[in-house]
Amino acid sequence: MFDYFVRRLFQAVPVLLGVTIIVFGMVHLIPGDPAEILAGTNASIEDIQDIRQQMGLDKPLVEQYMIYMKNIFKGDLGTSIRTRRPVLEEMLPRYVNSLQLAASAVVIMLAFGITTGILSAVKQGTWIDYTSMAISLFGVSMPVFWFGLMLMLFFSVYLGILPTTGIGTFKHLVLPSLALGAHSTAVVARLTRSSMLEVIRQDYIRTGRAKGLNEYSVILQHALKNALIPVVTIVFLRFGALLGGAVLAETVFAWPGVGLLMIEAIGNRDYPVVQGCVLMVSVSFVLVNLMTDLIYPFLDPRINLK
Amino acid sequence: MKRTSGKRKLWRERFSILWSNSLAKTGLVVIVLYLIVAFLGPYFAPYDPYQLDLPNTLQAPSSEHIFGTDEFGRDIFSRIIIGAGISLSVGVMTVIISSIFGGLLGAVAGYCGGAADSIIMRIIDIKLAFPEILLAIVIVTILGPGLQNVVIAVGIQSIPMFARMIRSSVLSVKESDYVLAARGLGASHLRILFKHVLPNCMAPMIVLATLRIGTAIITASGLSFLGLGAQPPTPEWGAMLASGRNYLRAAPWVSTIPGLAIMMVVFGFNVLGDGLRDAMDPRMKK
Repeated sequence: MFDYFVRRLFQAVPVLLGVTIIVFGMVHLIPGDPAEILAGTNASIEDIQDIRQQMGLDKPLVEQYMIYMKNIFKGDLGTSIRTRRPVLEEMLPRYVNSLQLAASAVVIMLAFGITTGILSAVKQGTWIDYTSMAISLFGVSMPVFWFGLMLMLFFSVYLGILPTTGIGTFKHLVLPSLALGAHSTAVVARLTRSSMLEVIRQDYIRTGRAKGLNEYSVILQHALKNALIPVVTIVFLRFGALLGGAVLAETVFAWPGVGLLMIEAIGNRDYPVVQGCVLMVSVSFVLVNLMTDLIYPFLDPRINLK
Repeated sequence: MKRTSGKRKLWRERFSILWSNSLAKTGLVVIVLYLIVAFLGPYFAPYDPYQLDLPNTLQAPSSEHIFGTDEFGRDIFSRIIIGAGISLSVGVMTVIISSIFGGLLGAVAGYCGGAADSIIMRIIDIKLAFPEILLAIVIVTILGPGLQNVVIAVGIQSIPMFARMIRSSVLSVKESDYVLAARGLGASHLRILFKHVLPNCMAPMIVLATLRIGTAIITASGLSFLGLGAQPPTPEWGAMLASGRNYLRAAPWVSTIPGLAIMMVVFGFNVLGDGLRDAMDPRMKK
């Protein structure tokens, strides 16, 4: 087990390095002088010169990358061109908001996705099964930004019970998390259903029923426990994806998360912020995936760690 | 001659399995209708999709404009029809890019193994460190906004899926008896790869391509929604949806209809892809 953990941790290192290379390379791939790009359109010649020296942009690329990495480890992700504040300072509160949104989407995914999946499997071939699977099929086909607008239209414009945009109260969180979580909920519902169907055909379930256990304990205590193993993995992986994929939901609801910050920064050509956001989101994504791999053996002891 | 008829029989069998699946049949019908609209749309669009008609802005759906008009008085039905062709070309072009590059990378990794496999798969792992739309955003940021760059970005984004899938297919096919026989007869590696291995990896490739067209259409319209893709006045569905946001209260149809169009088409590709998977590999059927 220990060997597996160490091996898996080491496997994550080149991936994380690759991410930093891509983020570092971004500015160099944009046509033009990287110092001018990082200094912004209104920068003076002195500003550009300062950035060039500070980031070693007159040095060879490898050396520049080393400086970039050294700065990352010091928590220095550069300075925002627009606000002149450190990028990390700009990003952290936004990151917390994105985490909050992703976590609420996961709660929706668990509550609706798993329940729908179990119901569909238990009532296989009935109208409940057909209806919920039809809804989930549309759920996986629906663009998040369109669903967000439709939720806004119905709950905010027509019913007037939930706010359209903003942050601060529980009510503000409902629509963005529903919009963000819809696609994942549909995926989890479909997966739970197929996983449950596989498990409830197993011999030990038949044995449980033959022993006279009631249906409630057969499903919830025996079947669900085993059926949820692949589902939990997907839930963790989706959490990582939701952190990065929240760009669209955040834009629709003007939710001040990292995704919206990144889109605003792209619009303002504030490349240090864009780099910081991409780095933060992708590193979080890698770490969540790593965590999923690390807890997987605990969830399913049958996994061969070799 | 016999080989051709055998192949034809196999494809006929696959099609009959596909046709017996009512959901896949629905998907096929949706996609055929979509293709008809995309190809013939320009000939039967009732209005010029770019023509401004300022006295008739934000008109509700009526017999004159069945989907209503947008903020510039343009006919939404005509714009949806022309947009079908745009989204189809975006979906198909991205899948062509990702299947060619992903297919080649996967084939080399799976066939050669060793260091080539390790290097290619580590590069693929790095790409997978970026959530779906994020890498596309990074690429569009570098290349600049526009539909052409969106195609490149979404195409690059999907390369790892194709590479992984082709690699695993090649790994199993390359150990087949007929490949060993070809090797024994002295066939070159290139000939074995392109004549014997890759043609036998086509079934999963077709399934993945069908499913990815839907995903590519959603991602590309998402990028246009964010202002990074198609620019006004192009009647791209994501961009149309974004422009309607500002009139959600007064004219909800401006955003609703393009979204419904995206959903229907993606639904069609998803269920058709699922059906194709069942038809091409009946063991996968649940």
